[in-house]
Amino acid sequence: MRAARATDPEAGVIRFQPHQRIEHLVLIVTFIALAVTGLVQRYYSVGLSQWLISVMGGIETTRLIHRGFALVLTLGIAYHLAWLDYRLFTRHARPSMLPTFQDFRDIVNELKRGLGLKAAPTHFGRYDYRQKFEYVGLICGSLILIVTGFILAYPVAVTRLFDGQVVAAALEFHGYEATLAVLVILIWHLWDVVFKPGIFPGDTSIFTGRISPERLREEHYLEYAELTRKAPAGE
Amino acid sequence: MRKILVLTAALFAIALAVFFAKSAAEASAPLSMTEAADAACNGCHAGGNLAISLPSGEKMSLKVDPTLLAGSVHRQLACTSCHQTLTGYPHPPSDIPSVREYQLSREDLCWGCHADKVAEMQESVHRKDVSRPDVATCADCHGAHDVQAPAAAATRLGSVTACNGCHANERLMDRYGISTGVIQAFYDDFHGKTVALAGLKSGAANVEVAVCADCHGAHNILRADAAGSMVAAANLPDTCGRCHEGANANFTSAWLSHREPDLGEAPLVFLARWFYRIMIPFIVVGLLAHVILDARRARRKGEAK
Repeated sequence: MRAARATDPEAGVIRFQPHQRIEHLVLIVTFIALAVTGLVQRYYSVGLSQWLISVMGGIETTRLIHRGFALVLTLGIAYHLAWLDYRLFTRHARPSMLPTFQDFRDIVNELKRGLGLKAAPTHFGRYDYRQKFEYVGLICGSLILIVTGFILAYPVAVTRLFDGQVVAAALEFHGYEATLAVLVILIWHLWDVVFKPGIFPGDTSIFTGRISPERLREEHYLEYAELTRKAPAGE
Repeated sequence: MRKILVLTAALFAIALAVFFAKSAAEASAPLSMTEAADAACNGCHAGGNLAISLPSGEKMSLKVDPTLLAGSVHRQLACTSCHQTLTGYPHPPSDIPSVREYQLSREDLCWGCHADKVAEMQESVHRKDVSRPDVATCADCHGAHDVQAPAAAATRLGSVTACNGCHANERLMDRYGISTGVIQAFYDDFHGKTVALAGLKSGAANVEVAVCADCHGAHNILRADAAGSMVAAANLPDTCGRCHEGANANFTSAWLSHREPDLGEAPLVFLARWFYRIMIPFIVVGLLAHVILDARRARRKGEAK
């Protein structure tokens, strides 16, 4: 996998393609916009929510912004799934972002190490189990939010085919799934990529597309070993 | 020189004409009879704390803020249009037994102009049994001197507060077996949120949002389980369809009738809610535990170095 280009001691190892970095940037903006314009509606009685809604120009405008970014998210997820389909089924790339049994063994091993029990260091591949959890969570969560959001935006059309209870249930799914997504990002993602000791003040690899060989070796040993095997030292 | 004189004279004439025309216009709009009479009423009733004690023991304020009336839909009426017996001073002695009796006695006056509302009002659940002490009077919902146009944004949004005046009163609602939870259920759903938030925008508030009366009716309001009720199952597609074009019977069940979802009536909603209510705390605790273990390990590593 582009091993020859991948190791350049000066700039670091290429980890993300430009289109992946753009995807992430678009996702940051979209996620924040949707979370803010959505949560203020869910927790509408809170003073901060009402202040934000009036700053955005009222509830109607807030809903319009929410639906606008919902369209961006839908297109982004559709693009990502199309790209995934091409990578996995046309180019037969390894699904390195999907969880395997090894990830569960890794979780147990990391838990032991976290508790201070005796355990060998865990060697991760291209993505560790947390990154996989966040990735799968993001894709599944987005799909749930997109489908239920569509139901909420077009209830008359949806109830031509389905029982009205689907609309009420969509509101439950949409609100709770969004709350869960925001909690995961705030608690876990920001810890992992901003606040964790050794990472603070931030992991830049998703923005620059590169990771230092030291960090690659430390955090993704199996990938590092594979890359260095393909591109022997000295090249 | 003569030219200048003529011009000056002409200008003077024009100025005079304009001046007289203006004062003539002013003179043609003198204080009308009603305004003059209202001014006389306001002399006593506009300020102070004028009040009378009723035989019921209640104290009834006789103060009328002129700005309330001026801001109402009845602003073109004179005081005596409604208070027809109070044309002179001293007023005839009061025969008002209680505030409620007074409100009820005033209704004939409302119906004198609004005759079209009488029949449906007398059939409505709020009026059907007029012997009950709780029946709603015109003033209970519309107010008195501050009656607003029903289609105005502020009136529509404020109408929910008028309904809540009784429907949030648990003691009152218990008599009729109605839950006061209906209000919170309304606010927690899409329509209610919009009502709660519509006033936040500067300028005209959105009025295209369902308030209580849009689904339940106003003067024609019936028990929710009455066959003719706007919210009866058979009539709901029409009621919803007034805003949601094309709404069918399926659509109407999207609204859970002001009820908390339960396993029997809305199992999908109930299960979705409790699935997340149980799962989210588990996940959050798991994430936090992970972060704490991470931080502790990083500290141990730092100490070992």
